[in-house]
Amino acid sequence: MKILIAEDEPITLATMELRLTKDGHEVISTDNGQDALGKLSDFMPDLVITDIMMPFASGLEVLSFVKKLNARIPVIVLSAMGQENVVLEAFTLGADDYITKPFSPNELALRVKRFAMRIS
Amino acid sequence: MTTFLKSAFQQLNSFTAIELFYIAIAVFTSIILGLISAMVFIMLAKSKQASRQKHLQAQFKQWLVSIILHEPEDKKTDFEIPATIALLLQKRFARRALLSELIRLKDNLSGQSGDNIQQLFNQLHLGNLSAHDMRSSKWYLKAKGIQELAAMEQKAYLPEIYTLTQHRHPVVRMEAQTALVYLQGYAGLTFFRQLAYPLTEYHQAKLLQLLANQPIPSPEMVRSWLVSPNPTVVQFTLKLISEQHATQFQEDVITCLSHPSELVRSQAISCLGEIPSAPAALALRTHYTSENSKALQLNILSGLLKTGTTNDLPFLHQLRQTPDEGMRLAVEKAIRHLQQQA
Amino acid sequence: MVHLYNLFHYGMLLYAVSMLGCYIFLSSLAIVEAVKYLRRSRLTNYNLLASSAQAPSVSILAPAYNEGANIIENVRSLLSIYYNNLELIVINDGSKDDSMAKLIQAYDLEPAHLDYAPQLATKNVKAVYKSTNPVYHKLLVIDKENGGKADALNAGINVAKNQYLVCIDVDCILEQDALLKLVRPFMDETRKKVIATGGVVRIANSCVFKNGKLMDINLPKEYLPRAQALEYIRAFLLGRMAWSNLNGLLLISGAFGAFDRQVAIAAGGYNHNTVGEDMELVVRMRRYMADRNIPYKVAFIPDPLCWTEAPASYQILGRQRNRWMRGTIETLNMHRKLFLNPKYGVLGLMSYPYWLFYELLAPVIEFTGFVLFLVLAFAGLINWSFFLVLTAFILLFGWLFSTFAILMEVVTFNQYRKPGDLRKLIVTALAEPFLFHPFVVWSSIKGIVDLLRKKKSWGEMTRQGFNTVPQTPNAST
Repeated sequence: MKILIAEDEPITLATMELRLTKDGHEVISTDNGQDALGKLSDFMPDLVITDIMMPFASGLEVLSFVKKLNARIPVIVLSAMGQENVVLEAFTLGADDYITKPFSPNELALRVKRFAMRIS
Repeated sequence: MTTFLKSAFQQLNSFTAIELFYIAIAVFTSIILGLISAMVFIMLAKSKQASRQKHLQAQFKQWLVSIILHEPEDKKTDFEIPATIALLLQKRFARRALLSELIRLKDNLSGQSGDNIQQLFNQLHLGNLSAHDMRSSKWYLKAKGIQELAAMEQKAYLPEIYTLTQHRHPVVRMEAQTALVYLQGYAGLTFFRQLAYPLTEYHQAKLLQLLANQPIPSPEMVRSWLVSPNPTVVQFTLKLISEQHATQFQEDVITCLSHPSELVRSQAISCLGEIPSAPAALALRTHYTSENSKALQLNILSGLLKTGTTNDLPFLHQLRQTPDEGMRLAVEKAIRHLQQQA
Repeated sequence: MVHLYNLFHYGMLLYAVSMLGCYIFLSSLAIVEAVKYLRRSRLTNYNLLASSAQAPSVSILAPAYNEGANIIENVRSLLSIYYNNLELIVINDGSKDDSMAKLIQAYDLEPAHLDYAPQLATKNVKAVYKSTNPVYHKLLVIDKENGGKADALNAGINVAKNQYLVCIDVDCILEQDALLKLVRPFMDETRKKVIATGGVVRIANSCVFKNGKLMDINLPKEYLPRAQALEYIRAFLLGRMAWSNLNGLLLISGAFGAFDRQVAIAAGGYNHNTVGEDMELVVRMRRYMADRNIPYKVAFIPDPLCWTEAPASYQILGRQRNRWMRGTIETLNMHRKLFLNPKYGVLGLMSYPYWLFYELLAPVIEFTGFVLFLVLAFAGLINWSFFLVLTAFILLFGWLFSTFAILMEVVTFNQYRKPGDLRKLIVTALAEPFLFHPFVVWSSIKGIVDLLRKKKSWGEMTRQGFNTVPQTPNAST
């Protein structure tokens, strides 16, 4: 499966990349929202994982953009903000899953697996 | 007059001998040159620092990722430190850089990965760096040290952090108090008992966020805070009750309506709006007439809008006569809302 | 004539020396304040405020007049600000272009019925619109008859529901965390009421923007904007920071500032009768608090938060400075009661006199000095060696102050760190007393003359538009 990850902390990003590559996914990553928007249409991922608070464009913008591009691409939102209102807003905008930071990379991998199974 | 002016100018003339200006010009020029060199020097130092940081991060990256994703077999063994990294870590700046990297990662990762990060922190005794900062006499280092020790769950330092909860610098005591709550939840709030300083709104927001998903363990504790001589502690507690929708404290909240501090009264009013019930509505209605702040009266109306029922309509109809237009609109709004609900 | 000459040169000297004293004093205060702020800021995670239900509620007010060219993009950029407790109020101040139609179409707007009691008198509000699309639920658009910026802002204040007002120029580009940083000071005081906070405005010319976001910071390539970049560094990093330390801030930039709504309304809102409505409101709010003996504070955030395009032509710059001068005079005139009035503390004893002598009178004094110099030169009364030394002294002091400001910028935020930027800034500073400064003085003098003639032109700002960057595509760095 092709996965696009947008996350601005480099080592966290590298961790996710390695963990998901180990599961056999093809991963493309970026450290800012604006770049994610650009890569979306080029890479056409099967799944998007995005942080909310990022430089240049927020994850919620990335989320709305993905859903406009193709509503069937699942989006996992990853954020330090666990408050109800933020989670609700993300789901209203079409998020398929919401993971609160700090998160476990193993858990993330399992959730990705679930989406992979649903797609294939 | 002219003679006076003449003598005055002569006096001035002797003061402002041209040589003085030469000196001033020389001084200014050298200061400007000094400032420019300082500028260039700082600029270079900053870019060097940035590239060193980047370089270090690149060196740590692979190694850290492998540690984060490490799955322990049966018992905890120390992580292997590659020779190049071990050599690097003998330098103080590299240890500092690693420390801040680990703190940032701990914010992002939990589970096995989080445990691994913490284990590495302990194995390298990075806590000593933080503790050293905490014991510094500079407030910003103290605060940073406390923040780091809390993030890495270094509970051994709790007693020392506790003594800092009454520190005279607001940032230091805020970090110490936050650290206690982060590590111990409600039990960390024992410092409320002798808190002499006010809690800022920002600090209250921070504490509430830490307690957000933890239910209140002991009602006695909360009741004791509600009668605290420190109005900001009462204010905080009322916010906590609203966030948790803890209806069991309704009576106590109603008592707070007659608190001398306007801050507390205002918080009590909005708190009653969050824990709807008939006694709450009645208390708000009764309090309305005795409240002399217009802003608080408006708060009561929006509280009634949330917590009230059709039983409150007669009271609201009475208020329609008020001469204040803003007030009247709020009354109308509440009436419409309650009628729609019925 | 000899006395005149003496008066001239000692007068100039006295003025220069007192100004020097003031500047040195202010600079040292600015350093203390900036260091304190940076240390504190490093310990803070601002994201807490973005989502906390406890963060204060904010209404953003963005007045727009004939901004049709970029209005959709500008509003989109404002809507992308992530803050939980937020409403965005765009006020169409009777634009003659298609702004309103464009907004209705782009954001699915429909007239909404709102319950509100206008507390400030304004021109007729035609309608208030809300979006039918839930994605834009934070957006409110007011359509009203033209009444100028102050009037538009007042109409926005009437509709606003939230605790704090953030007034912003619709074409400003905000940093991602601008709002969080601006709001934080309101939550930090327990003994005083914070009535307003101001943010730093920086020059956006030559910077690169994409989808309403700042992607890359460049030092402006043209001379005029670059001179203004230097001027803004000096004004914000040194001037305002120092006054914030003293709690004596008189001006919060109209381009980006936050106010306590209730205090702003109680003080009477924006004043239509001045072109300096942003400064006037702050002064009036301060007076309101001081008259009631309520301890208060006006805070200032030195982080670069808001990017705006500076005038790049002499004509528009001249109009802007003309307007600023008139605004300053009008405000100081309306509040003359403050002058050296001990009842108002720092405000009356320091801020007001400083503004009077060094902001308002500086151009007058410099201009008179120059005219006198010409007269005396014609009369052959100039002691040239003394005159040259005095000029060098004053010039060097100006340069010293500018260099110091650049150093502060390098030490703190270091925004202009591309190779050559530093050199260009220093050269700009060196050229400033010959190119930029005389023009600013001249425009200010024209402002004073216009005011005396009771001319009340607005001085329209024609903007070049953000989407056309980079403006000089082939310029090298």
